[in-house]
Amino acid sequence: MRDKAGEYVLGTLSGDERSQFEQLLATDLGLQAEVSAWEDRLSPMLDLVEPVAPPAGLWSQIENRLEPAAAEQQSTGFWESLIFWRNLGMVAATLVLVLGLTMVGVRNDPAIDQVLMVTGEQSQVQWVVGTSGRSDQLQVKAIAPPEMPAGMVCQLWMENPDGTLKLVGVLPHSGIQSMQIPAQLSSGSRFKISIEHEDRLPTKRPTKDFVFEGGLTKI
Amino acid sequence: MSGDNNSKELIAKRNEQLQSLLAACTLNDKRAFAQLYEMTSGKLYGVVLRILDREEWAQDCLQEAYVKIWNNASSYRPHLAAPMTWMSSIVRNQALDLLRRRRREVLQSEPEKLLEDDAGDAIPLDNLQQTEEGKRLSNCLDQLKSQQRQVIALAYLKGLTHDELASQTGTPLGTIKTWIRRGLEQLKGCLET
Repeated sequence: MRDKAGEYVLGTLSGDERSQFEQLLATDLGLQAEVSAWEDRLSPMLDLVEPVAPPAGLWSQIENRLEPAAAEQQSTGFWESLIFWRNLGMVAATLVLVLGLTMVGVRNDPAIDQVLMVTGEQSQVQWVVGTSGRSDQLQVKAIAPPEMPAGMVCQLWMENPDGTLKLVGVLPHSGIQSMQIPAQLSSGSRFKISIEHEDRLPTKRPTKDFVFEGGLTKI
Repeated sequence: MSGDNNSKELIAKRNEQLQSLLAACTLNDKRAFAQLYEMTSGKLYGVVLRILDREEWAQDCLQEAYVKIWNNASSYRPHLAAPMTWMSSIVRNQALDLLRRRRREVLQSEPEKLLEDDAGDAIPLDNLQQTEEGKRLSNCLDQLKSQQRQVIALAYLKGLTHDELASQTGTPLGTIKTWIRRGLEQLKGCLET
């Protein structure tokens, strides 16, 4: 099975071989990397495909099925969640239909206009930070937060071009959290992260060097 | 040359934008998702239509795939894959699963239907020159025997299995399997140098 990654991506595995391969893929990180590499190698062939506009009504069918609860599910790998969704497809479709009918108009969806991807040493995304125009809140989503030593947390700070540094708060371990923006946001605002003791959290200045720094990008 | 640089820059810029949109999707921003759909659905619908030649299947498939993209946006790893590569993999997998399922159904009820289509027709590979990655892949594909090149392109773009490739091209199954296995090995070797 291990040498089948190329054929899996190419699509030539038969139904049974394909499902066996996917079972293995769900937990095997090495195989996942192998599959990604093959996707990368072969995907330029898709340049040969002419775009075709999908029928106009399709978008609203898709939109009706979008649930924030689904996007909230936490820290499962892509393949796990893919298989999870495949298995749950029928149940989910029914639930979505029911929830969709009852929740329309109740939810307040953010319209994000700027994002910052907080990345680690291998440039892997750890958190996504977003702002939405009229709101004084940052939306912060934990994507793959780094492992912390016991009792340590990541604190987010905001620095404005005039040099003022303000504490935003402790970054979440999972899920989405709203955080108050501590000062007027400007295009030059920088966001920085320090690692601090959970029980001795500084409020004015970090006690350690920043481990990350970055600014928001307009979408 | 400057044209090349320009298009390289444009592609990089577009990728950054798609990444930002996917990031906003992880924050439940449907407007960002709508924009993502607008920017990518034409291409991805084209991909799906090649694999599933019936529009009705292709539309179902595209719908499922975009719901998956929304649900899995936080599993996207920008440092591991370009956004279009990630999205097109979801779409292709969805299409291949549907194709395998539907082919089985059609095969059981009306087997003659499957033989009508033109799925075995050759795919012109000359237009693979638009991006740097495309040029590299094209050069490496050129080093394969022409039949090897064709079965690989047919499999990737049309979703044909070993058996289908054998019957559509009138080639023994064993030969097809060898062509593909060796072809992929050669391709990998060539792309890595």
